[in-house]
Amino acid sequence: MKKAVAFLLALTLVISCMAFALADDKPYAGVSLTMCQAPFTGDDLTYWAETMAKFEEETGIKVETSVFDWDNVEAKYLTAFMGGEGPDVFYTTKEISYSLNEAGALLDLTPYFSEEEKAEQLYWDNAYALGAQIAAPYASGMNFRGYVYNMDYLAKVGITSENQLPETREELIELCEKIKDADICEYPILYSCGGGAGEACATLYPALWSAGADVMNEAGDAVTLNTPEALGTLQFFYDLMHKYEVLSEDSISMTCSDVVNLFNEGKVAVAAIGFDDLFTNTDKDFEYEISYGVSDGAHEVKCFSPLDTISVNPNSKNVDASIVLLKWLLTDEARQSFRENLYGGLKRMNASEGACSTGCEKLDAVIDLGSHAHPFAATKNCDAMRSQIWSIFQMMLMDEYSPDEALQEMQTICEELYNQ
Amino acid sequence: MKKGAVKKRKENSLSGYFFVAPATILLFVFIFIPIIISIVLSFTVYNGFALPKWVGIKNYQDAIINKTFIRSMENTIVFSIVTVPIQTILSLSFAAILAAKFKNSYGQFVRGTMFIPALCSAVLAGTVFYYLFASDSEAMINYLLSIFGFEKVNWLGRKTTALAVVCIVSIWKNVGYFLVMFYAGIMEIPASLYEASRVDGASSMQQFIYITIPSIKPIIYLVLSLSTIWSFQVFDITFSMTEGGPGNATISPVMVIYREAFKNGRIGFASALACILAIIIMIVTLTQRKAFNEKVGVN
Repeated sequence: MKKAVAFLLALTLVISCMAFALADDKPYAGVSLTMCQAPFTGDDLTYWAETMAKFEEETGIKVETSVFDWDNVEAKYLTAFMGGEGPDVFYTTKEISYSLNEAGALLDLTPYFSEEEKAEQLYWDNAYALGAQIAAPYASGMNFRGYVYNMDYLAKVGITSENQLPETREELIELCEKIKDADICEYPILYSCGGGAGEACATLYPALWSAGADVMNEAGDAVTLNTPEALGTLQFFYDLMHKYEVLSEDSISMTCSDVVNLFNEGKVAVAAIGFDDLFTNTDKDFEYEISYGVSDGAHEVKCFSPLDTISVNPNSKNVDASIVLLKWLLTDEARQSFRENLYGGLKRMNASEGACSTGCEKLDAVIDLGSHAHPFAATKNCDAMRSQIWSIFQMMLMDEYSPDEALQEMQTICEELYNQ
Repeated sequence: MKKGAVKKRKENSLSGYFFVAPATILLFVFIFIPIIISIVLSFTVYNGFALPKWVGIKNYQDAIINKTFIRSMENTIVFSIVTVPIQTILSLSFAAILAAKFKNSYGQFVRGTMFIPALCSAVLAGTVFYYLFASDSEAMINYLLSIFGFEKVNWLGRKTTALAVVCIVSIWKNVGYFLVMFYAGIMEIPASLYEASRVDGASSMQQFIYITIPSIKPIIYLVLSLSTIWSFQVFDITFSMTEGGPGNATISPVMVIYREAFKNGRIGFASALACILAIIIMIVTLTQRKAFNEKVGVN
């Protein structure tokens, strides 16, 4: 009997020691986290279930992933955080950073990353906003907006190479008028002027930046919309529709997807779109070229280059485990897996990564936007401002406002929103 | 004996309270308490995270001069004037025809089919109609127009046509629901009234005007009330079809409240807008009731 008890005690001691030894390898074993990711393929949940299973094997951290819908992502996040159910690690964009920061939902990552780790992330500084490192760069260059040209149509009006593509608004208007006079396609030019305020980043905002205008100043503490450059931009769109009649009124109800579909059907000569389509749908029956866009002639062309990020909830169940997950998502292997399974257009994000290809030669040639890149600035109420600006822009296109009236209205409303 | 009767009456009262307690608790938790909280928040600045800060009637002062809210009320007035009479007249007409001519399995089939839009999700309906009324020449409606030699129309890109399309979808969705209500009411009218009027030489139209309509007056009042209230609460159809655009051409008061609360983080201001909307709906409903001279719960 005594021998049996002694044997059992010894066995218990051995098992306890083994447990400690195993626990040292996985200090976060048993921790559960929630992660919210953006949708890319429609089958993202399957990918994340498999990927997070591998992560759990390595670290012992169990991760439950959900995928949000791009429509009203800000409202959904804020509602979750208001209810105390915000995810531990989550995909964010600059546009919603301000409101999430106000909600206390963004952890300052500065103390959690070494200088070497920061240097490894090529866009680390771009993710700095609102006085803190509120996020880590996760995906840059995704679906950047620019212009695409149906060269079959352009050839009929004398433009046969990419070197002849318009670089200024005047050149673009001249091209569109030629196409309209030749009556060779349904739409000489299309912008997505419908849909939600997100379309502003494909249409209005790049045009403002390409004229040296912007909604806020660089410091983000004053509304600077009411300038001659901004007025010129609004006048440009107004004239395209009402003076030169090359931009169809149909565009007021079109989203970027509608414009892309019409371009792929060969109905559009010039379109301002997001370039996701170029490497996800290469079956075009015509030649095409792409450019960053057109400027007012006095400034450099700017195009919207989204920088999507990953943030950590400071009220996470386990902040240290959340940081482990975040760093894992930023590794070369995780990024390569992301490219292969979710989004092939992901730019080179880490210093240690080799050259990356989108699979589309034309896109590879331009994806490093360089000085043409212009992110969306995270300032106070920036998303609400964009919503209001977009509504007024649509009303201007419907002739409810003149460009000057529209600009005054935008300035007034943006100032009210900033001073709330 | 008397004490026993009193005790029994008390026991009966207590058991009655127990039976209504669950429903009462649900009413308080999900209706009355949120209303009271919303009214209190309407006097504060509150973003959902920091503590509410009392500002008195400032939210109400801002609400009544808010251009977007005023525009949404204008849209709602137009929307109500168009949809309420049309869906009432259409549903009553269909119900009268079905009750008079098709009291058979075919009539049942038609009633069932017309009720289907009422069952389907408003978001789904809005999404489907968005594609039907898309502006390009191959969208269904524009394609049909082209067959008859008409030019395509930018239905959702012009302020007048966008609101008209939203009205069409709303009418399509509600006619079946009200048809069922009218049909049930018409079937309750004694057949002897129609027989007597036939003997007196009344035509079908005279029977409809002098017998059917007065007999179903409470149902007409109910339909008008419901459709008016629903027209002030429209959100899902406009949100899924146009998101309030183009510009603010189809924005509704509930959409403004949603934006202010969940996109702009102004929950106090949104609560004030909601209170104002509730007051407007109450005034409209009471005015309708007075016009119809109906007492609550009395036929």
